Amino acid sequence: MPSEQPVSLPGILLLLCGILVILTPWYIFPVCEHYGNYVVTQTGMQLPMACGWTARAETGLGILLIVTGGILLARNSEETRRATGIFSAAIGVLVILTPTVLIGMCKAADHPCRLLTLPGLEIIGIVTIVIGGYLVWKREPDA
Amino acid sequence: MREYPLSGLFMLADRNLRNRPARTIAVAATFAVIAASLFSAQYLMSGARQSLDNGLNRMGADLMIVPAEYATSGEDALLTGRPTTFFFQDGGFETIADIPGVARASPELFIGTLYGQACCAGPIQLIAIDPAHDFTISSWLKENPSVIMGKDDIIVGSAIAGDIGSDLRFYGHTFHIAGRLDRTGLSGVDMAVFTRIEDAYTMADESGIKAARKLSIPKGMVSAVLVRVSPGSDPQTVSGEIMNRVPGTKAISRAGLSGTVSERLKTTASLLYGSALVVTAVTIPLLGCVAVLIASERRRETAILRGLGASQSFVRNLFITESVLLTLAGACTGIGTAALFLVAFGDFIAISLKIPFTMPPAGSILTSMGVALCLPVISGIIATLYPAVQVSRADPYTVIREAGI
Amino acid sequence: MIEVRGIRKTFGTGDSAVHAVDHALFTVDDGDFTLILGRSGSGKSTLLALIAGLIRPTEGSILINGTDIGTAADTRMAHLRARTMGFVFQFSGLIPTLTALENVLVPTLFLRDAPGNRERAMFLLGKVGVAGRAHAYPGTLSSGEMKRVAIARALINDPAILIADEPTGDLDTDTEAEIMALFRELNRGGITIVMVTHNPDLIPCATNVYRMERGTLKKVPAGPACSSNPPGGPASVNTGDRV
Repeated sequence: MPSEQPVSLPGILLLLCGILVILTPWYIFPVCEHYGNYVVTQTGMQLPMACGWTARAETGLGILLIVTGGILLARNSEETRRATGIFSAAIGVLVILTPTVLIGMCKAADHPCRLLTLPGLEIIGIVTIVIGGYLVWKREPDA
Repeated sequence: MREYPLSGLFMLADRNLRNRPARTIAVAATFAVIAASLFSAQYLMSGARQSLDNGLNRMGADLMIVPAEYATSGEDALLTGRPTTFFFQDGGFETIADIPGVARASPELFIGTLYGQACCAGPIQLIAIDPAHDFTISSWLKENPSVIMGKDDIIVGSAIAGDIGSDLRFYGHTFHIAGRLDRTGLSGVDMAVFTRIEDAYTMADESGIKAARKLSIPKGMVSAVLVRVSPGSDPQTVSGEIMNRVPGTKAISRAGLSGTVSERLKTTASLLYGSALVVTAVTIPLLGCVAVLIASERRRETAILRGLGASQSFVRNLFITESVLLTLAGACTGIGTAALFLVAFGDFIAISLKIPFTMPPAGSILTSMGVALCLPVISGIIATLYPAVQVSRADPYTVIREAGI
Repeated sequence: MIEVRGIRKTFGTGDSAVHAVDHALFTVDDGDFTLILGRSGSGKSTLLALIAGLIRPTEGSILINGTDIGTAADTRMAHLRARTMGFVFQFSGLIPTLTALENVLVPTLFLRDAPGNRERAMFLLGKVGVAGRAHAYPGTLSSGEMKRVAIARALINDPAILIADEPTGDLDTDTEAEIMALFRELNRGGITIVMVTHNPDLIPCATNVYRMERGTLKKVPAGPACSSNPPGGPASVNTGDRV
């Protein structure tokens, strides 16, 4: 019978990471549209720039992380830890790939999205991958 | 020869540290702060130095001669890439080129554009070169023979957006990106766009019709003269002679730029080094007191170990091993965390401090890590040594009797 | 062989000097079971500590297999304690941060070529009847269980000499009987035992018996050899093989 524990610290950390992933591109280190910068088409329509689309994608990833952390908090068993570990590590990889490869940020090097948002998301992504790896490696909850 | 295996020492030390997690984490965190501060200071200083060297080596110049009233703008343009537009009398160029000790001289025009190449980007620095005298871009073109700089062709710095082959418009004039320089960390190079002087004049002539604001480049004027000093000549002496013969000019030298960068870094570096040293100075006696308390708390345990066959050196080394493991763990955590943030936010830090910056070479990073590791570990050993020796020399029999073991 | 040659241990100086052990003289041959009886404060624990090399005599000498432990360097003495002697403290003396199994293995940490290992530790814990508690911490063990673990620890390096300081002092009668049966079995297997006790019922089982009074040691008759059953009932510990 798998051992269970009332509160999972990795679960809380995943929850926090998820919240940070959402808040970072909109409030903590906001992307360019926070400063009123958009792509303007020939017809005069305003569209978000690459960093704006990245921020939207990161919001989705953040929600997934929050759900993952919540599942672990609800049921801290060996099987759950393994599954949430793999899942959160994968989300962490996506958190990093989204602003770098999949969607990207503004190309200009001195834009705030490149100077602050991108490194902020990279760090949260790395932390998430480490937490996920820990959950997979140490499947037995601490006594 | 040590009579006992090290593995036993590490096992006991590890178990003792795990037994008091709060204390272990608190002490490790203190050393993490020390190591992080030390490493950060050294990383920033080596990175700034490296970037300055990369950038100036890329430019190939020992001196940059600018109008005296624009010396600060010129330095800023190099160090931070802040766009600027200024000129002085072209006649100075011929005079400078003839001065003894000047191996080569290359005139350049510095033009700040109206907008960046994409929406919401700020102005960027356009640098127009004379292909006949230039030794900055020419040397790079020699290294990259597939790149030709023809009419309206530009070579962009590494931080300028746009693919090779695509177009950029400045003052309404269309330029084609022919090549991209490698990253140097020096904004004056990385955020610059190099064009030919004749194309710059064409752009200026057309700007009245095509651009939002007319650009005027007075004929016969240049913004700066890059000077390469003859081998064996002293750049300081040559710059003095230049300023003598061409009044109203100022020489920006490698040493001068280094001084400016050091000055800008001084506050941050002092803060980091200062905090590392202050925390260390406070931590050593504090840790010494903690070590005395721990030794006293574990008198019974050490008496048992001695009774079972542990020598005095084993007991002493056990305490020291605990200290080393603790300080190493803390220092590694501090260095790792600092490195993560420095690498991730490096560009932002450089722009905030207005310094050139690039990742230092691996050897420099390893040296910084080594120094940042050594100070905490040595501090920990110093703090623990006296209590460790005292407890190892304690009479186990007396303790056994008192503790009722 | 242990030779105690006229040792004296004095604590304090001048008028306040106390001779805890006063000119003790005796020999323990290989395979002997030596009992030292006496009241509290008679100096018997000090004598044991002198034999174990935990303190050095003020006068006289103690030879263990020819080595004068009174003048031996600390490193040599520590090695001797780890390799040749097993020590059972009065109150078990287990390290609270280590499991029972890890406690048994502690003496192996002090020797490069320790004969003890994990398998032997589990075997010894089985011999003393607490194999099922190998991964428990001392805080969850009973006094009897802790004492058994301490005995297993004393045996891990296959010592020639077992030194026990009132090993049954804090145990109930039944457990005391079991522990003493174990000691007798160990002695029958060839281990030399020097034991300090307050229990005169053990006199029949010993080869040599001494009584300590105010630091002075006197030999008393050992009495007829005891039966294989301890006073009060048969042994309940399986100690058939030499450990």
